[in-house]
Amino acid sequence: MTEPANVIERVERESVLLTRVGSRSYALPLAGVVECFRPLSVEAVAGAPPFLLGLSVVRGEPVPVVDLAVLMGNGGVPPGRYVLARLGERRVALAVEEVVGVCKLDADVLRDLPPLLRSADAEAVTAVGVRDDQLLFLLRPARVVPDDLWRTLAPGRGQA
Amino acid sequence: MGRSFSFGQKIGLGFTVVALVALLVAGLAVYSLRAAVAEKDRVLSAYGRNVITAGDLQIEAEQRVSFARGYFLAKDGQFLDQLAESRGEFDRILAELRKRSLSPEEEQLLAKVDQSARAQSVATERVIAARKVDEDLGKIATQFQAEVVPRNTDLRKALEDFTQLEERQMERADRQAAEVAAFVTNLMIGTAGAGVVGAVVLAVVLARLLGRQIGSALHRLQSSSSELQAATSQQTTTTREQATAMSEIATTIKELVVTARQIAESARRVSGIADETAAGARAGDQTVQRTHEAVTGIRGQVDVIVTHMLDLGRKSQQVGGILDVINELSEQTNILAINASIEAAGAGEAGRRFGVVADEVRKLADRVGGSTKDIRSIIDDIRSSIHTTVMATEAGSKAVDAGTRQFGDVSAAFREIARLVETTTEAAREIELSTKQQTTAVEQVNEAIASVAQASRESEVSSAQTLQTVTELNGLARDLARLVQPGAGA
Repeated sequence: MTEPANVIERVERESVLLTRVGSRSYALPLAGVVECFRPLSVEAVAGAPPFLLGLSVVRGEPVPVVDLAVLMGNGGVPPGRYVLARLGERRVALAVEEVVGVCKLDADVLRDLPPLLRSADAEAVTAVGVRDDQLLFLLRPARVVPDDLWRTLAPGRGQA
Repeated sequence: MGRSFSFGQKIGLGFTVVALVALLVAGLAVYSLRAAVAEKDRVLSAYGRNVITAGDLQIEAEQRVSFARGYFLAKDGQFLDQLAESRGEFDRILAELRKRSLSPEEEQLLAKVDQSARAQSVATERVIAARKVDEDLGKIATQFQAEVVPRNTDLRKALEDFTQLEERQMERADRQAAEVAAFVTNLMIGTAGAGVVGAVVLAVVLARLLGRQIGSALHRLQSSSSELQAATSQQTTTTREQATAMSEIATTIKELVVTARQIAESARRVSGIADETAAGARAGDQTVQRTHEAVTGIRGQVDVIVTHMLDLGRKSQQVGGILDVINELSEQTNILAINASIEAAGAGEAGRRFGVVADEVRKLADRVGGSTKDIRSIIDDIRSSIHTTVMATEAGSKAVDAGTRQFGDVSAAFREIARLVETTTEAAREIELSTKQQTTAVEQVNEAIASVAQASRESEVSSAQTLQTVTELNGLARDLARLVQPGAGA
């Protein structure tokens, strides 16, 4: 949330991967995206929050799968693609309905996040806008999975 | 007198009873008279003979005395023989008399006679013995007078007693006979009177009985005659009505003849129409057979269509499979193009042109995906149409099957119609023939009815005559009733 203007500015320079869940579009900075692929089989994890579908094996490594629809509060949409995001050393698969493609966003499309949404729960969203009459959320993949969840999953990862 | 006897029998019986009573009275009178006369004769002859015999005895006794006196005078043995002969005659007559049926009183008197005769004989024998030894007539006469005459007087007395007794008895018998005759006369008078009274009573009873029975019979005859009159009158009316009815029947039968002829004509027409109907039914049957064959051909074509449609469905399914493959390929291409774009973006300026190509590839893949969606939609439509067509064709096939079966039914119905029409034709011909026969029969009935009508008219005339006769008979019965029961003739 710090320095949103800088984020928007950088987005203007960088490309984003545009995805869609229901009637909303979500943009992921292309720098944090590894690849996209079809949904894989998911092993459910006990005690996990509702948005965590479970763990999938992607290229020989266990990766947590986060349902973006549940996370962003417009649940009930079946996933059509997984997007593998890179968070430093960590990786997370985001389940979306559709991957629209790679594009660059115009600066006037994005707005600062309204103060009402600036809460700890909404750390994943950095900016919001409207594209083709649809709400567009700019995501920060590093915040998509809360830190305490990473800590819960850490031993699993260590074992894998 | 039972009710079952006829009047003639009753009257005859009554007269027979009267005649029997008269005969009984006459018989009784004759019998009584003859019995009385016979009794009188018997008594008179018996007592008369006794009296005569007593007289004979008297004579013999006197002769004995005479013969004894002769011997005394002449002392001739001839007198002794005559004396013995007379004595024997006396005993014979006396014995004959005692043999007859006699009363005790007569027996007693005869015993006295016998005793007196014996005493006289003993006295006589004693005097005779004296005479044989003594010649003195005087002494003999005295002895005779002293011994024989009293005995002789006793004998005479005894005989007179007997004779008087017999005469008394004869008088008594005569009186009794007169009494019997009087009794018989009275009896005859009484019996004749009773017979007359009985005959009168019988006549009255018979007259009353016969009068009552004849009256009752006449009454019944009168009522029967009246009923007969009423019945005959009614019969006359009925006969007249019958004649009228016969005329109506004759008219109706004439109409019946006309109707029967019309029926025969109709039956002939029905027979012709039935022939035409049979021909039509046969033609219909042939048409149905041809239509059946055509429908069978259609059914084969429908089967071919169904087979082709199912084949088409299978092929469209294969197209769907190919389309799945294309779709899969387009999706893979899409993912690959996006990943290529990501990689191109990561390559910085060097990857820019590759990124553009990857984007174009992605757009192509998207278009392929969109086209496959359209094709799938079209194929789905085609399959749906094929399904609908197959269903419709199968329904048609079933309808054709049902139609084929119905054609069989229709054909059978046409054959049944033809058969029934033949039966109808036969029946119509029979009706025609029967109606002709019926017409002939009805004409004969008509003639018979005319005869009956004539007979009814004659019967009507006859009934009128019968009515007249019955009326006369009724009057006759009334007259007869007046004759038999003057008070009840009305």
